Amino acid sequence: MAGLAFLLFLLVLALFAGWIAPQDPLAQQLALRLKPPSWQHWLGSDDYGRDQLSRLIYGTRATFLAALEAVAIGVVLGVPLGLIAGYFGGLMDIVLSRLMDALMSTPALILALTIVAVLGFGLVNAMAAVGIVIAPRFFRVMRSATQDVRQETYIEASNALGASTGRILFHHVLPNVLSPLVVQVSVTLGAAVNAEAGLSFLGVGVRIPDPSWGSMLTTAASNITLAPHLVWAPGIMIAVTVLAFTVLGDGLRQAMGTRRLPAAEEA
Amino acid sequence: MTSREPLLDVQNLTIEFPLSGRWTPVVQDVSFSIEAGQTVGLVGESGSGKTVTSLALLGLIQAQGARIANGSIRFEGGDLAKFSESEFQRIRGERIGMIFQQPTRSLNPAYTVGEQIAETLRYHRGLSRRAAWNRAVELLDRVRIPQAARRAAEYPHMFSGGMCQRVMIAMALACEPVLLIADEPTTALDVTVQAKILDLLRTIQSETGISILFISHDLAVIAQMCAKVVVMYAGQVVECANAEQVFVTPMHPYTEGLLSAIPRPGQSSELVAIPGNVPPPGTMPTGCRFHPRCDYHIAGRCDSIAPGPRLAGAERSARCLRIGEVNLKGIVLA
Amino acid sequence: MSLLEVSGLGKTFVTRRSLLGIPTARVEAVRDVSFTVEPGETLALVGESGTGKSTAGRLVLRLIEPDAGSVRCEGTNVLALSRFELRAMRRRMQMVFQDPYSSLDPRVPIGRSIGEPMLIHFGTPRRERERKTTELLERVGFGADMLVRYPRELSGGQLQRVAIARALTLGPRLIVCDEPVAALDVSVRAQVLNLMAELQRDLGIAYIFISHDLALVEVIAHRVAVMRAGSIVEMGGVRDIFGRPQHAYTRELLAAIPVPVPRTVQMGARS
Repeated sequence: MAGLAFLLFLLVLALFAGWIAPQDPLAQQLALRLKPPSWQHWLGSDDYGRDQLSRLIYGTRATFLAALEAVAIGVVLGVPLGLIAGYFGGLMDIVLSRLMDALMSTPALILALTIVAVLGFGLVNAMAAVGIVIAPRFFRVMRSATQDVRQETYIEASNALGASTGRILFHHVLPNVLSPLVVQVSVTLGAAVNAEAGLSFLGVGVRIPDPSWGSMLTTAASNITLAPHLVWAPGIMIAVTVLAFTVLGDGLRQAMGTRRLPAAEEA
Repeated sequence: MTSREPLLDVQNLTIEFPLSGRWTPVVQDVSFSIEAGQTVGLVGESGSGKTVTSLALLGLIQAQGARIANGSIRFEGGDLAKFSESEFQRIRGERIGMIFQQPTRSLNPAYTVGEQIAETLRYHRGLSRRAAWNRAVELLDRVRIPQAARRAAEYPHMFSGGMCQRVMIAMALACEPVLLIADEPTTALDVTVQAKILDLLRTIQSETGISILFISHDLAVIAQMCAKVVVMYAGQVVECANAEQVFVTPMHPYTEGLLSAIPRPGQSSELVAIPGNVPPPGTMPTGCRFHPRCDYHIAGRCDSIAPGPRLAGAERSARCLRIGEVNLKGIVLA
Repeated sequence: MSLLEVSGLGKTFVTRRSLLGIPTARVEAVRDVSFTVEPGETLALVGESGTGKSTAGRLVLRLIEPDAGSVRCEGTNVLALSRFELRAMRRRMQMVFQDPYSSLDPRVPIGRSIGEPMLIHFGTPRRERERKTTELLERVGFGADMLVRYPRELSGGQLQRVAIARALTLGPRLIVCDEPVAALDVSVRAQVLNLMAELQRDLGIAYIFISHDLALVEVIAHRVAVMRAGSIVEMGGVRDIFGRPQHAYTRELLAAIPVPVPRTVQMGARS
């Protein structure tokens, strides 16, 4: 549950950034550029003299929203298609699966860049691109879980009782495939954070001068010789956050995992 | 009363599983013995502990996280309850063989049938590849698989359920063990196939003098195979006697219940069920474990005193406070 | 008029396809199966595994679409019904499945599982559904406390009785039972079977009882159809089939049933 605790902490940061951050993240103090950590700037200042710490805290908001957007788009695209492919099988399944395979076989970042080039720059578009790219993950998980549930007797029973397909999908299949979905969401949020960092690092994500962890890395990279300390804060934050999401996902998987009692029950 | 030591002697065996964070007994105070050349039936329904007991004999419960909390399993001069994994590896297959309920799933689909038998022989007996293969074909022939030489080179998916079980029997017997544990070997098979497999087992026993521990919930099958019957309920042995005694003059109300649940042709009255359910491990009623479902239980006695196995004649016992007081019905012979 | 008239029923499954999807191997699971079921009687479909009896049961209910043959229920041609009309037909023919542990949605409380058919077919309001559900639960031997419990809390026998209650919700004339007690402990089976017999007496429900357990069938069925490799090889009244079996396969089946009498006693009785 350490993962959860950390993420909640981040959530608080994101929501209350305005109150927590000591300084305005956009305020430039050119006289104090690239300074190492000091009492005035706990994590130092970047190349425009902006406070790293404040930028980090405000950056949390951007990162979270970005990750949520990407995952939401991925879910909206991947989950219903996965349900349909898993439930109906046949031609529908073949077509959808091949489509998703094509999507998955394209290098993610390249695809994201392409989509951004078409849609225009900006974090919203960049994360939408990421969303499209990660949709196949949800598709796969949903498809396989749905196929498992499809075989269960209670689905056949619902059919025999006269339930319509829509009802079966919504009332009986969906609630029973939620647990792998939740786990997948958690883990993918971590991946989305990473993606945002990558895209922002490449300059396609967040608009300058808005803070985000990825753009902070960009700044850090270009000033690495003069101010190597700038790398640490955003780098560590990204790594730890992704880890936290993954750990949370693992924990959820374990918590939701076994419902049957151990073999001792069946003698 | 024979002075010869039994081949397998289980005494006061208690096995515990970690359930909900606590060590809970799933099998409690189980005792029974198997003589050389004898077939003993272990009868019980779900929750009886019969499978766990049989797995414990080969040290297979430790992998599930269970432990033997008490008791002994004397076999060929040693105590299986205290064996280490390496000691078990020496007797598995060699001295004690085992066959399971789902024969099609017990075989590795990636290797031919002959290969799997030969592997056991090479490992335990150190035979050469050629010698092991020939012996494997011999064994397949022994279990009446037609065209054994050809079929030994086939993969498990080419075999039906009954055939797979024959292969399993061949594998279990490869190193000529003295005891065969058969856990519901015919439950998943069709009735005609079942009859043939049971026949095969009886033939093998008369040819080799092997002892068999036959586990099943099906009393009819037990009747066909076993000289001695051990009835288990909720983790305990409730009755232990020879087959004739158990079927004709049972001494425990649960045994009576099982016998009356067998559908009888021409019966006009309702089928008989035992009301209630088997208590899950860790939630046992006070006193006799069966009393809430028992037609004969006496308030004040059966719900407060837990009966131990009491002698009910020469070499038979039953776990009931009312032995001799009640007249239990066995099967009615035509 | 018979309750159910099945004639020439057939179903072939494709077991293997080539890379392009062209079927290369087929198995004829059900071939030319015909039988009738009268109101209030139990017809047993017996056979070993793979004989097509489960498939036949599902074909009758059109849970699987037949490739050939006809199914008439109280005169109505079931196979000609539109999807909408088929749903209405479901009220007359229901099914109880083999595996009690998976025939109820694990996430739904028992009360809602039983009430669902009422909602689907009649749009019955919640209070009314609850009332009727409680009645049904009582009918199968449970109290109102069962309404809020979940499938995982119940034993196999209890689950099967709940499944029967659910099948009764729409007032069917016929219930197809696919090995309903095979997965249950021996001492519990009678709980379910006696309930079924009672319902037959009180409500006049007919059963198609699919089973491989001949000893059981002998006790509970009125008529028996013996299946092998997808076809019916012999059919008749239960006393005829068990007492004077005509077909070689029937005789083979009967001979294979283990007798619950120890061999020593059997041999002793003979000497």
